[in-house]
Amino acid sequence: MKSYIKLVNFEINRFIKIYLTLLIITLLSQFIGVIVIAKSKMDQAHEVMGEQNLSEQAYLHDYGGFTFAHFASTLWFVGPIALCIIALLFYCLMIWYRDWFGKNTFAYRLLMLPTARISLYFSKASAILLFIIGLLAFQLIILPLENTLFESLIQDNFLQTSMDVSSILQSNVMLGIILPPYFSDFLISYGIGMMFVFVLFTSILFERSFRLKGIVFGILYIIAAVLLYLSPLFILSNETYSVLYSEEIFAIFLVLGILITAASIVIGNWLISKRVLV
Amino acid sequence: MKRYITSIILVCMSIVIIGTYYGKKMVSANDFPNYSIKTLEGHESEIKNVRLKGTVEKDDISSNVTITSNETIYQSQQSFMDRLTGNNEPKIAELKKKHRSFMRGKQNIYSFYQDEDFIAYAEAVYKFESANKFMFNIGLLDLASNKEISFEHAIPGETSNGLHVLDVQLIHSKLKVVTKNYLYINDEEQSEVHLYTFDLANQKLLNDEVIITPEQMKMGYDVIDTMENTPLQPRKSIVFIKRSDASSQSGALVNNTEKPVIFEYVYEKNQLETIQLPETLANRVVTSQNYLFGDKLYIINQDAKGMHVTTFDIRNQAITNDETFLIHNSDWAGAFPLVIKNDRVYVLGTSDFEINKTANLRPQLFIAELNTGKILYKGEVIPKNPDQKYNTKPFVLHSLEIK
Repeated sequence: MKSYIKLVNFEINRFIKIYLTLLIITLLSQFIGVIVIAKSKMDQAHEVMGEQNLSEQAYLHDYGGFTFAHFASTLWFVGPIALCIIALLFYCLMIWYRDWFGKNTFAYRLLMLPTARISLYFSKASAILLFIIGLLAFQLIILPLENTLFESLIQDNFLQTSMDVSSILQSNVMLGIILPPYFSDFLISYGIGMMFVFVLFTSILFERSFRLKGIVFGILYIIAAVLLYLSPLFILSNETYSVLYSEEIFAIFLVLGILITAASIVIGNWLISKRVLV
Repeated sequence: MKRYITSIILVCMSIVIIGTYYGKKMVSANDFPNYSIKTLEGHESEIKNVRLKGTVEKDDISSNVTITSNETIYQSQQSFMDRLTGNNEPKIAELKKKHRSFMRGKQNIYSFYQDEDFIAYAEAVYKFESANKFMFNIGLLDLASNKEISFEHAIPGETSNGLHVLDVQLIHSKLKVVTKNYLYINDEEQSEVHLYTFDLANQKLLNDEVIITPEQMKMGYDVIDTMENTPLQPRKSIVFIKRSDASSQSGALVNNTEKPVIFEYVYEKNQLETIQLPETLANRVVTSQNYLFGDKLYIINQDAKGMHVTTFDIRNQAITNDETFLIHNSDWAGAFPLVIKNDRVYVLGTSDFEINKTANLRPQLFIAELNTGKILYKGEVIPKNPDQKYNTKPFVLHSLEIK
């Protein structure tokens, strides 16, 4: 347990610089975005009012006011979120390969540690999970601040409605997925996400164990896991009405998810303790 | 310890922030207001079984709400399991609890029939693999022995444009299924009403009969809805109304002086019988809401004087009751949600939110005695906390249920 915590801490610390950079990019992009968008919206409104000779009231009647949702759909806001997602996906691979491709194969030292090698596997998965929820928490912290700033930059009458954080999250499809309105949905989303991380880790270990042949095994493993997980959908889509109740369909997905995660961990354990090459 | 500081900060901050966010959401249920029904007239016990349904809007996001005499329940407050199993009709949920195996894949309330001995089910389902595209999915549950029959049967004729089940009845152990079938004739969308008769023991289709032809449908034939909660109950017949003005929507040329007529298809006799409406009703029927409850046809009109409810007995072809209820407000929408049950008329008076977004009239609930027209109860739906912020939140009620 102690070595696992040490390893998690180690993984976090070695990514922290890139991680902080991601947070700063998000912060800057979203705050600059708020200022730019709020200003341009107000300028646009005044321009239209000037051109068409509209009073403030007439403009609002014809075009409506602004809400934070107008900003939340711009690249200023969505861009950094997408960047963070891509960066973390990429790091799911790099978290393993940097150990091998670094100077004097760091992996050798890690694998030689006097501890169960599966700790290494779990620590990397835990680090990824912590990075994800850290990003979510960061977004949740800065969102109300951005909202306050946005509302202060938009002239009172032009603010259509004042939104709170949960309304903002539901106003945007992407935000609705990364921070779902219900905690149960949050657990489901990120449960599925972590299952995928485990599947990916195991297929990386296939490659690290059997090299070229391992690439084939790895890819086949991913395909098999995805097909198995989605198999109820293929079966159910042949029927226009479902013979299964929705709670039973949920149970099937839950069991499949647990099975696939468990299989990935068991195979990963076998590969990392018996087969992995340095 | 110092070495772990970044990790500890990351873990603690994340858990606290995300935990607080979801924790707060659970407690406050999105800050949506609570409502109560304030009694203006009559006795509170009248509203014990009343459930009002509607939506409350906040920041452009609307949430479904159910208001009872003592509770305000939002959809967002439902448990995960409740959301997962969906908002089924209470009757379907009840049947599912009792007959879990039989109820698999069965949803449509109009497809059910229930008496003391049997539950029958017939639904038209789309099949990808069959050439005919739609099949009947038929089921019968013997309540005494708990034995099930279930089979699929092809639907004769062209069904590729779809059909839906209007009524299912079990008459002398034959299953009668009434459907509205959609057709394309000469590039024009048309429909006809079929009656299929099944021999359940031999799983055979005995008869397929067109009881209302496309020509008749064009002339403005329409099925009269039964009052809610009754589609399962055994009934002797299905009743249609012909409104001469309804044809104007299809643009067909029909003699507009034709009087509206009621037709009853009696299952046992296998024939369509005409029921003449008294002169006084014939004109009103054109614009009325009509509901059937057993042999009683309720004809409901609303105008400046109030709401007129006429009870017409289709068996004796006579008006048995005619009352005017003094329920009126010029700012309210035309047709109110209404339920007739236990010899009482329940009416929900609401303003039409779509047309008049600024009017924030409080919805009112009326309960009146059907036979005397006497108002037994009058109440108003009000926010529990008299907070200005809550009062201005768009709030609309669209239906009422009586348990």
